[in-house]
Amino acid sequence: MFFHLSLDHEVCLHPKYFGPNLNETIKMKLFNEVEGTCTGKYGFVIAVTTIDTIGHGLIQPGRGFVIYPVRYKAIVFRPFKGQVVDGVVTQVNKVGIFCDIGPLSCFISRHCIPPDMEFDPNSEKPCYKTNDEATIIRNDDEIRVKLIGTRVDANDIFAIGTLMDDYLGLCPAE
Amino acid sequence: MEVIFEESAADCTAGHLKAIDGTFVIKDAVLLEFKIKGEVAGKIKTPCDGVVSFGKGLKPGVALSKGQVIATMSECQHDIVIKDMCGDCGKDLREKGGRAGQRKEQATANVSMIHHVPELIVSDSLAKKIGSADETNLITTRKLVLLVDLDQTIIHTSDKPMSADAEKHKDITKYNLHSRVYTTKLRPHTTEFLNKMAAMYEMHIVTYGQRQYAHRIAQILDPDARLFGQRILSRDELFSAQHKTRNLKALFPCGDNLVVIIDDRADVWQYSEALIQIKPYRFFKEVGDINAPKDSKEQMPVQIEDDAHEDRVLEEIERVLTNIHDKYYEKHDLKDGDQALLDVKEVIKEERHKVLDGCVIVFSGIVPTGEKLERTDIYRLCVQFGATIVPEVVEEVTHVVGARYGTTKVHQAHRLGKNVVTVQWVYACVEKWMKADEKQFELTKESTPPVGRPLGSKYVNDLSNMDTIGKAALADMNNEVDEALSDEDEDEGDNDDDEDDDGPENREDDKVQRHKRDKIADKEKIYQEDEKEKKSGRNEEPESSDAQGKGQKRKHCPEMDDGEEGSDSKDDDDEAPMSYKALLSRSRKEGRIVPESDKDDVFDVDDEKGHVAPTNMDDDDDDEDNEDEDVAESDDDDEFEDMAALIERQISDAADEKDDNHME
Repeated sequence: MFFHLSLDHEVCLHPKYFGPNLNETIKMKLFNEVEGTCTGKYGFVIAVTTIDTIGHGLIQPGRGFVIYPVRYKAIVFRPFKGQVVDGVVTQVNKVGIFCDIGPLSCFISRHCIPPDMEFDPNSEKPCYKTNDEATIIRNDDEIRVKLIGTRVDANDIFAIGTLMDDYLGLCPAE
Repeated sequence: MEVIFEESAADCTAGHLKAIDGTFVIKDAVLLEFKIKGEVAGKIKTPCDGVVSFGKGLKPGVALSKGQVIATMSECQHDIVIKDMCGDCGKDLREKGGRAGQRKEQATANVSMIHHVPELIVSDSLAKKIGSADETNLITTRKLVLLVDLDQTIIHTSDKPMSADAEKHKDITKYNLHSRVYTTKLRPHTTEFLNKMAAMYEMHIVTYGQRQYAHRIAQILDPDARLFGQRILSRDELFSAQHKTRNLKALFPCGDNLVVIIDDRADVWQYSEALIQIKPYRFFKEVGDINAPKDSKEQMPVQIEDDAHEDRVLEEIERVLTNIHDKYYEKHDLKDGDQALLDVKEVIKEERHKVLDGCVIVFSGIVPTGEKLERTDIYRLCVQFGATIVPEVVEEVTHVVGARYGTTKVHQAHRLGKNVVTVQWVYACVEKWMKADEKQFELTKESTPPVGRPLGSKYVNDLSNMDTIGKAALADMNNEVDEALSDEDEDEGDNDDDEDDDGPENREDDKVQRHKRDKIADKEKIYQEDEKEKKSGRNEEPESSDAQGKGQKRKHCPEMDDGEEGSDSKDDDDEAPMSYKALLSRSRKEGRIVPESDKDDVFDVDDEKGHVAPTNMDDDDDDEDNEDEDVAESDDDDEFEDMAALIERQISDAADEKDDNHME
């Protein structure tokens, strides 16, 4: 799920940036440092929308670096158990399918793929397909997945998904 | 837990099954629709999470009666686990706050089946099931498995800047990896070889290279991922740093009956029968295998092969592999359907045997006297390739393999009209899997004794790569040692000699070394025991007599009362930094160095505090860590000095001995 959150970050700046563009530099550095990162608590920071305050810088004794506390709003993506999401298949093997849901990787075990779909190792690209070849899931296909578990680490999230529910599986090509 | 049909109406029939037998379903999921008189009347839901197994004979249209068991729900077996999460039910198996691998619940999964995703593991039974499906699939597509090594087998990579013009040679790729520039050259004929093999073999890369490196190379070899797909096993996934064999069981849970291996080294496969050893490919000068396994016994060569361009090995191997594949399926077609799967190793063995079949070989001057014939490499090769080895030249002998011209056996062979060849003949046969032409390898008066070993690897004199200590440095060390040790008696100095035996200094006359070793062997024993008893927390503390001395000294510190310590420290301050000699003599004076036998009594002292050296005591009284470091450093120096002393002594001893010999 996506959230719009107010978050804090400390930007550490070298003294050479102290000049007319100071605020710009702090913003740039903030974007670089937080966008695309992942915290277990809030999930993946997708984009910073606004910068609320840039606090007073604190000079670090003995180093000259300055730390600015920044409060900003960002869109974060935090996957939850039970959520239904769309992903892109990145890898198909005999044990299951790996897919990417934006920054989140997800694994779907072969037991969670409808049993009428069989793994075919002999086709040019490995794939799961039904006997009549009506549905074929292979690399780069879009699939709809329900998350059944998430592994939340300090700076990464990994998910387990399933295709065994109504309206899940291969997304019809537009 | 059982799911029981509770509808009491008559004429109930089962409708669509909404769940699949043997799969995991969550609570309140629909298991089954049921119909009354052909109309869908209701749904039966699961009472809990679990794996469903439907009752026997349950299918759409079957009549249902009240009290009938529709399905049983059982616990998830966690057959597929990734990152400590069950892939089927999504349950987190990791202990709360635990690290990776710390599971609160024992899962059956323990086989890592996917080459490059080692964290994805499956249970034994599932692995067997998948493995046997793989096997059947291979047999029906008439393929075998080929494990391909990268470095020096089909490519050669250098991490050094290349001076030669990359444009001049074909199949050279430069790329950045880990912010270094690597250059990779494909072995001649590689592309054709791989493309042809892909039709007969399911190919896997098994390499000691790192994951990124292996995938980068795979991209070069196989840009569309048609040949290898995702079957790339790299250093990051190998279970063992020395052998590749251990991963076979995980990759092929049903056994390695279909597996053929090509590699340039036999040791990493523990001389497996399935291995077809290939002559190592070298293109760049001075670069061995950049991904050689650690601690490997085999020496890697650094010389360039001048014939790098005329390398035809892959063409030969292509022929051998094609032959093995054909022979395997020839045999496979002949056997009954229900017989066990043929082992390709048998076919390889047989084909290998054919190469020198019927050859009766006598070695002359090849096996050093005193070495067991059966344990030499050449004997192993000859027997593997089907030759018979006899000790003497008799009527049945077909070949005499000689090192030098003019031995008795060579003369006998000439008289009897046998082929007399050099060792290279054997190597040529082994490399090509074909009996080589004896004429080319005839032993003549001009033949040089053999250099190199089977399959082209050469010994590198490891001494040539070692650091040496210059005379000036030696003299410096000597002076230092003289200063430091002038007071000490020889025996103590000797004790640490053996620790350094592997260092560069043992280039010294071996005799002297041995002599010395004998002398100190018994002392060493006592010393080691002492070391054990010390059970010092500081592992890197050099095991020198000085450390011992200091250790004793330190051990005394906690026993002193504070007042004494204080006064002691003051003394130290006056003459700090104190030389070791001074320390030692003063300690002796004060009676603080106890005789060896008394040591045991002091050992129970708390090491951390007890080991503080008096010299540092008042400088850093409040900072214990710091003190420890200081102590360790000074000990290092002492060890170094001792080492220098040892070297010096050895040199002089050696010189003495030489002189003695001279006089004799």
